[in-house]
Amino acid sequence: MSDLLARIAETIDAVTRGDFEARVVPIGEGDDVEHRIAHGLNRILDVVDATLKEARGVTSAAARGEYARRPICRGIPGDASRMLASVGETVQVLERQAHDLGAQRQRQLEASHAFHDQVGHLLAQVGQSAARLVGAMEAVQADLTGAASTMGELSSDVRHVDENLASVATATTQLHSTASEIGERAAGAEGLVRRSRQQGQSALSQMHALEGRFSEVTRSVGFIDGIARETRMLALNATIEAVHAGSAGRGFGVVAGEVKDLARQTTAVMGTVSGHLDQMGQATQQSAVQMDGVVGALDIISEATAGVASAVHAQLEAVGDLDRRTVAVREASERMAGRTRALHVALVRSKHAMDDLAHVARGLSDEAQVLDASSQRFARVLALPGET
Amino acid sequence: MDTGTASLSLTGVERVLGEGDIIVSKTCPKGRITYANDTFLNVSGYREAELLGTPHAVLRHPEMPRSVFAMRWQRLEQRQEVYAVVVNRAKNGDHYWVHAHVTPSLGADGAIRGHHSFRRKLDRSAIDEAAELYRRVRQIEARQRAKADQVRVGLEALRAAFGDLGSSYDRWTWKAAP
Repeated sequence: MSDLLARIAETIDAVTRGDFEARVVPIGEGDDVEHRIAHGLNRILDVVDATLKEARGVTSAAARGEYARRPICRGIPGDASRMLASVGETVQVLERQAHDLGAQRQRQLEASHAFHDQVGHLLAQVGQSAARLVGAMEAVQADLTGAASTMGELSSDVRHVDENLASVATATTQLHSTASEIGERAAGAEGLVRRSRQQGQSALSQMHALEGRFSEVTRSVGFIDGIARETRMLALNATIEAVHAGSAGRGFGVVAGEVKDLARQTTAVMGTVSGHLDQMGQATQQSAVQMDGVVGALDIISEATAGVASAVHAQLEAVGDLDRRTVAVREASERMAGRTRALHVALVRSKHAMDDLAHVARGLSDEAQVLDASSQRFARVLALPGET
Repeated sequence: MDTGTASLSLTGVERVLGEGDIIVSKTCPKGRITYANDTFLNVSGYREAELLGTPHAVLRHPEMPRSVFAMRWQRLEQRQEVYAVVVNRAKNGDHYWVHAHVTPSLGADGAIRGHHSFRRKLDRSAIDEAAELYRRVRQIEARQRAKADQVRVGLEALRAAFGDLGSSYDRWTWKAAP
């Protein structure tokens, strides 16, 4: 047996064992039957090998999800080529199924994402609304703080006005009691002032009511703050849930429940705050109307005061007359005083004179006593023989 | 060997494969030819005795960019089958375009025992497109002196052309040989 025949036999043995990579190598040159058989065997093996490698390439690529890999049939003849083509068709069916499955999964994923996005969007909106709410409440809080301080000033003003009105009332009462013309005007003014006082006090009580509402609103704002914090955490949870696409159903159920709960709480608080704000609005409106009334009344009082002023002017004239009279009285008094002083001086002088006189009289008395004693001694001397 | 001087001479004559032709070759892990079928011998113009034991690079055509071989070699080392559009040089300096499908032959231990190459006819439009594409990549590579730099800039150019050098280049080659 020639070497080439031996190699052909070895190759056939190898192929029989399943080694389709075996070839008759080398063949050498020649055109006899042995060489043609060797080339023919190698050609058969090349086609079988190529077919096997194509089939394996296509199916293993499909197994990796790489469906684009198609069997390359070029150069492969007959049934082997048709077999490869049918492998390709099978892979295409697989690809369509995988595509459908992928599309279905994609739709599910998109639906899930859409749901996530929706919930996330809702949560973000709730968060933003809560943040806006908090912002608005903070603004209201600031306004109310300003209002409270203004109200304090107003209250003190009203009190001041009240006090002034009370003084005016006293003054008008006094005026009323002191002058008849003024009295009439003052009586009108007094009535107005009394009404104004009532209105002012009503405004004051409204302000107190406002203060009460203000503190309630402040409590509500605190509650809304809490809700806003929870909402932010919820939005965070939603984001985390969105990452775990697999557990979407359960996670979102919980989140959705919490959102509903928060929404209910927020609505309730909003209702309360809204009610407070309505009442505050009404109260401030009433206050404004009443303060307008006070201003109107004060305008009228101002007119009345002007009337009073003119009346007072008239009274001042009378007072001037009184003053003049007083001056006259004073002058008279001064004169009287001058007189009195002069009288006093005269009296003093008289006293001095009296004193002098008394002194002289005492001297006279002493001298009279001495004279008496001397006369008795003389009488005794004269009357001793006769009268004793 | 006369391949050294032969590689310098090109005739510019193109050899065209038949619709039913498959050039089959096997190489050892070092790239030396261990099998060449009769189509290979006919198209390349070499005799069996000249090819057996000779590096496969004897068929390398100077118009072939270095970077194309580099990117295909990377995938072969990962034990993946690779496809490439290749122009080879026949012994006499003629050239022929092929769709090359190379698969690693693995031993029972998983080690690469060698490579198996099927080379098929390319459609004319694919040849024209590849010739123009490779000419440009080759121009870019030619501006670099060092081999490594040529491969680097060539790969950048290929990436620019195909986006990625895996599946999109593969799809391009499949379209070229249905």
